[in-house]
Amino acid sequence: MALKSSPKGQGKRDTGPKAKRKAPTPSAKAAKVASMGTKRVTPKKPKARVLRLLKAKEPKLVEDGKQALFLKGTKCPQLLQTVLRDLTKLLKPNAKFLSRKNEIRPFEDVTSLEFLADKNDCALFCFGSHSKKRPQNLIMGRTYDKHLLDMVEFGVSSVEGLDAVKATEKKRCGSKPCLVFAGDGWHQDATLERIQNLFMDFFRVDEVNKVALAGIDAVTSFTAMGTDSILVRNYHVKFKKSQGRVPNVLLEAMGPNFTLTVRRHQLAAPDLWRTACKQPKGLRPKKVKNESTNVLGETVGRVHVGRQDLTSMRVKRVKAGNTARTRRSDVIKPVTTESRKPAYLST
Amino acid sequence: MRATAATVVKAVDVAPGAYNGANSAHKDKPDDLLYDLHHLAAVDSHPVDLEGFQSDPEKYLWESATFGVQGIVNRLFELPYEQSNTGPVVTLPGATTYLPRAKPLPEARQATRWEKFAKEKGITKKKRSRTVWDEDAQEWRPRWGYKRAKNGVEDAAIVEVKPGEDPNVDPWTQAQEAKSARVAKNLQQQAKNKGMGRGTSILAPGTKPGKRVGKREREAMAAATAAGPPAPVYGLPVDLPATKKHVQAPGGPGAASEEGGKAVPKKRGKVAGLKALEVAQQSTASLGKFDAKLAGEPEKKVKKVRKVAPVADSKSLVEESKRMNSVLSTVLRPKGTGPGTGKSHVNIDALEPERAGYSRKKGRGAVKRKK
Repeated sequence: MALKSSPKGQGKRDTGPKAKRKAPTPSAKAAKVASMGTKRVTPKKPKARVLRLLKAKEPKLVEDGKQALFLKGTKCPQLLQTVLRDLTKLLKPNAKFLSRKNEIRPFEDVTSLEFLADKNDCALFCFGSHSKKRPQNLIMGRTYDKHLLDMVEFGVSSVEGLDAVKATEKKRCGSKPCLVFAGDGWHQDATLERIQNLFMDFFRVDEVNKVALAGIDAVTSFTAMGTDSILVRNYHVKFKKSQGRVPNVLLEAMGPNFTLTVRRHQLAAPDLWRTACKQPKGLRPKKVKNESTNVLGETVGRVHVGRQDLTSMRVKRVKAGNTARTRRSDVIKPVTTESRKPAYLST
Repeated sequence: MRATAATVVKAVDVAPGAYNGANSAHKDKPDDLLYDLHHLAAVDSHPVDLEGFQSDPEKYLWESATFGVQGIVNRLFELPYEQSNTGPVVTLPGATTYLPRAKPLPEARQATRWEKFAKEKGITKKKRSRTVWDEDAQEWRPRWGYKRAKNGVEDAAIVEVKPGEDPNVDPWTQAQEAKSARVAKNLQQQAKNKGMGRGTSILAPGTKPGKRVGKREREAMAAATAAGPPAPVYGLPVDLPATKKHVQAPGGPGAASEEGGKAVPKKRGKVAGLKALEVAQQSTASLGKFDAKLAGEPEKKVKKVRKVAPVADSKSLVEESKRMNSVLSTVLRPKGTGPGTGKSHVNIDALEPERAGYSRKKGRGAVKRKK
């Protein structure tokens, strides 16, 4: 059987290098048809590892802490790189640093950023770039449902990296930091309110219900100077003995410290924001009634007993087996004083 | 002897400096910060004391942070806690600041066929033990995997033929076939469940993790379907124009109604139908030129659309001059050239110098051979 070719190009097929390929023999062709012809009856089961990965990426009712993605633009100066790397260290293991340079302009086209965030399964991103117009630029943002939710552009200045700040001890990897927001701008300016929300999300690390008190060892403070600039400081927290049960805290400069100047922003539309903030009904904490913890840390419960009728209350305990219903009463002889006496005493 | 309060010497009296700690600063500040203990956050809404800040910025920030953290720690120690090997572990209260989700809420999944049956019958999931008693080895071996227990037909060297069974059937092949049949059936059931939209779609085999339709997309689709069929395209009027024939309004002639006697355009009938067809044909790209026609159907008159000359700019002027020149050359062509003579008045070799001298087989200047 000859090779199938278009009628127009028939002449060309006979000449040239491809014509050297022999036409398949009838038996070979039949074999190929036979193998192709039987369609798979049962669906193929994907590998368990693949299923586990997919299941992990599925949306959950209660979400874990978001992962952060740190990216560099085509131009990213050393100062900005230290900020990105230090932030990665602060947020580890929930942070990923991509070492390659990316030609992305988030405020013009977010699609590549959304793609990278989705691919790395990171809902938070931090993009550092530099240009004459926007020097030491840092864009922090987050995604919802694989699309951009909001992002804010900052200018970074007065940077003191983790290595620059000499400290005896620094925070442990993966510990949940305390967050302190100072300044009246946080509740006065709408943009700063969103930025506060963004920072709380960014520096949240893990979504937890319980925290070990001994594990609190870091604090990030954000001070709003007016509505334009935010001073970010990181401290290591130590507990010192105090008079009472609650210890005093001692803060040590840890770094990184830097100043952020608010530049552009692209905040979420109100309806998208509402959709993104929707919490499942099951998450609302259930009220636990009649339980309290006393000073000693013991759980004290309250039992509500109904109204008691003290007049007809049975006070005497009746021994088991002495009720009329038990079978033993038929067998046991009636108890008399005579029968109780031991044999040698009976007359 | 019990120690009285008078005999106890407190360390804080001996060395008060060690206990002052960091909280000497901002002592007079009232603790009216807003706390979100779920996120270990404190919000100090007091404006920044510019004087204090400018005198020593770093110290001011340090004091402010210390105050905030102390407040958080104070409140954390009041929460209910439980002991663990790392010390007291407190249960955090619910969040007061709501942070947006990363992914949309998962859709409620329908119960699979088995799950529904199990619920009805009250069958609960029982976890299988990892180890099984191996009769031959007389010890507990794993149910599956490395050094597994050899309890099945597959591992038996000799299998007894049960009464009533065919002795010529190979039990090992039978067991293997039965197993593969069970596996295949299970996969089919999973695919069936997935097809019916039951269970988690992602875990069903035979499917690629397809494009998840996000909530926004779903809402948009729902809105589109709710909005109804799309508006008619221009060129295809919804309401047909009035035909020549009119009918009397319902109610009959001479009816004592408001609309009685008013002519209403007829939408049915031959004329209206033809008009509708004409409109429909004209709305196609080829304006109905290539539509299959019935025998006896007349040719459609196609209105030729006249091209409007573009606004004069540098590019169009060049094109216009070219056009005019070609017209001029046609008009002023030498005698003996043009249509009907076989010779073109256009000098092809001047226009296409790369091909000059070659015989052209196709395109402009090609000599058509009679086949």
